[in-house]
Amino acid sequence: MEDKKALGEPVLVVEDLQVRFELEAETVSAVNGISFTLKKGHTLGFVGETGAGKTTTALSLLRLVPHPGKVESKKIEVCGQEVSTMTTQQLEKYRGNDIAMIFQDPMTSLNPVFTVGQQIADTILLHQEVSSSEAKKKAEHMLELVGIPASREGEYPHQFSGGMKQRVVIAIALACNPEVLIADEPTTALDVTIQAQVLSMMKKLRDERQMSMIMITHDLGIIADVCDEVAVMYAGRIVETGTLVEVFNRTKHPYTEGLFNSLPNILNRSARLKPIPGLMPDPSNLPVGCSFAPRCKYAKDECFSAQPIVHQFSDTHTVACSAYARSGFAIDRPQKK
Amino acid sequence: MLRYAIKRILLMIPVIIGVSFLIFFIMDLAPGDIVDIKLAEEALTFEEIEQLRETYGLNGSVFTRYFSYMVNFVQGDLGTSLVSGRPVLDSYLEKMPATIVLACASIFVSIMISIPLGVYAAMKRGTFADNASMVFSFLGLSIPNFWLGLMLIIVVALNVPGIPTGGFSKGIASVILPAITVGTGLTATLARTTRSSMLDVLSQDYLRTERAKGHKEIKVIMKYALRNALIPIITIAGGQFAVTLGGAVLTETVFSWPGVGRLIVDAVNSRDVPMAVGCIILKSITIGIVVLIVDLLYAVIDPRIKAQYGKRKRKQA
Repeated sequence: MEDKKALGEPVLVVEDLQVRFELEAETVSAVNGISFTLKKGHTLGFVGETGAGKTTTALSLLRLVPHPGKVESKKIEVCGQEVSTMTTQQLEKYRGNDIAMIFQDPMTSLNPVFTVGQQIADTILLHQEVSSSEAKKKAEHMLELVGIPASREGEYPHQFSGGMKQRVVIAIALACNPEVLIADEPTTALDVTIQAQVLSMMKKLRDERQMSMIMITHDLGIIADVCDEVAVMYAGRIVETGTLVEVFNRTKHPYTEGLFNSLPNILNRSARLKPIPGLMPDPSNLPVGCSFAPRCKYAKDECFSAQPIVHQFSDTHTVACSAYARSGFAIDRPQKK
Repeated sequence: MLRYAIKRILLMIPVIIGVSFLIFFIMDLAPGDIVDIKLAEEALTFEEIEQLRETYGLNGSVFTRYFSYMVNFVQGDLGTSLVSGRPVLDSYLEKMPATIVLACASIFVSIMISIPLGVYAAMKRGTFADNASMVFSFLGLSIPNFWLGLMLIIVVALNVPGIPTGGFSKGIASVILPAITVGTGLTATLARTTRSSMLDVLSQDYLRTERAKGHKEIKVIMKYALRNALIPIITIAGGQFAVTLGGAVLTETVFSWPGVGRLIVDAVNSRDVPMAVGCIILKSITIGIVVLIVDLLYAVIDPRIKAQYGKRKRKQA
């Protein structure tokens, strides 16, 4: 990273990203043409059900999509560098240094036969011109930063609890002060009390370091807590994107509405949950029309026959839903200010 | 961990008792004894035969003979050879250096071929390269040792100056061909183990973490993955090493290698009971120690196993 961007400038631009897994019998379309921008110091939340393509999107930013995945895009630009054309050497410099990822499952994300100190120092040695004793010192500092005593540097992952392991994974990701941090369901494997601790720690570190963050989760509470912007994903597409306020208070897409309706309401405990009926379509056999149409209570014939039309409600608020072509259409969820 | 090692060494005692009794019993079941073999060479009178049997300790039931043998064994006396009259331990130790050299060299050959081959096959899983390398490693197993040894003598030793056709007198040059002969026989199993163990590890999440850090792919494979895949690999390699330390009879024969394999076979053929039983007990002790060392190596490689060794005692209590 040569030029540090000012707050609010885009650090990550993705245009028309597609990821397909070409298997012998079928082609699984995991991500189908998504575009988004992440601004310096901002946090973008990706929310959606399991299998919506959130993790695959994140992995393609690091070019870590596993075989036989095929990634295509008009543009994946991180910190002014085009990722898709990087050579292996450039990629090795870029990963861990410009962009880092916190992986979903802390139990399996750490190498069991190396000490946590070694695993953090590893990244530092790779990207910074330091001696191994300096790297070890920095690793100890990183551990303290995430709330683990430096004295535990020489211990192995199996000697840590789940929450501690996730802190170590975070320490690894932050070790080289990356410009962009991707957090892939960083708290899913943790219990709620630890979840809150880890999240507030991440927010603190993000603000201190002016990092840009992508937060992947299926938990709308985490989105509300951490993100500035939200992208709602369904079957490999972004169906609604906007600022936190726009998506939460002026919800437009029926799927986003469905997500909110699936949440228990703490103010009205006798209210019934309204889960979205049905399941997400098979990504190897996506429908011609809107992927959500079979589960959508507002769906009309045109929803099944053609891809949804994109509607722009403000500079930042975009919704892919054909229903807004009908005059006077509105979803049931009340719109707040 | 020391506790664990001591316990394992004590467990070798029943193994030695079992092995020695078995071999004693089998030697007794085999037709003929050393006196019969001597009879074939020279004419002896009936009295002379009886006297020989008495001096060789061949009279009495198998149990009483076994018992008196074990009494001596416990006192550190492995007996003397009926053929050469030399102490068994001396003969065994005399042959040991050549055997150790051959075992080390052949396991080295085996590791140098099979680990890269297995890792490569795992990386290229399902491709032609994968199948080809597995077929290649299988060739090593299918080719009989003695044939490969003879071929190497004919093709290499007779054409390349400095490489002897046999014996143990020319230093490194003399160990090359025997090591290749024994080593290639071991590669198939080790390469297959390496491949399957690596396949297991290659799909693990922590390798993705290593890649996301920006490590070179070769380092991810050879350092972060291989270390995790080592346990099954050293189990097999250690077992092979232990067996080779017990002697490689065919290869020793082809290359006139002065190792313990032939010592044992010769002792059995000449019905030299103290020699055969003594050598086999020493062989099983060697194997037991090597296997123990391998088990202790696990703890060096994997900290989780080290933790278990410490815990085991508490668990059983």
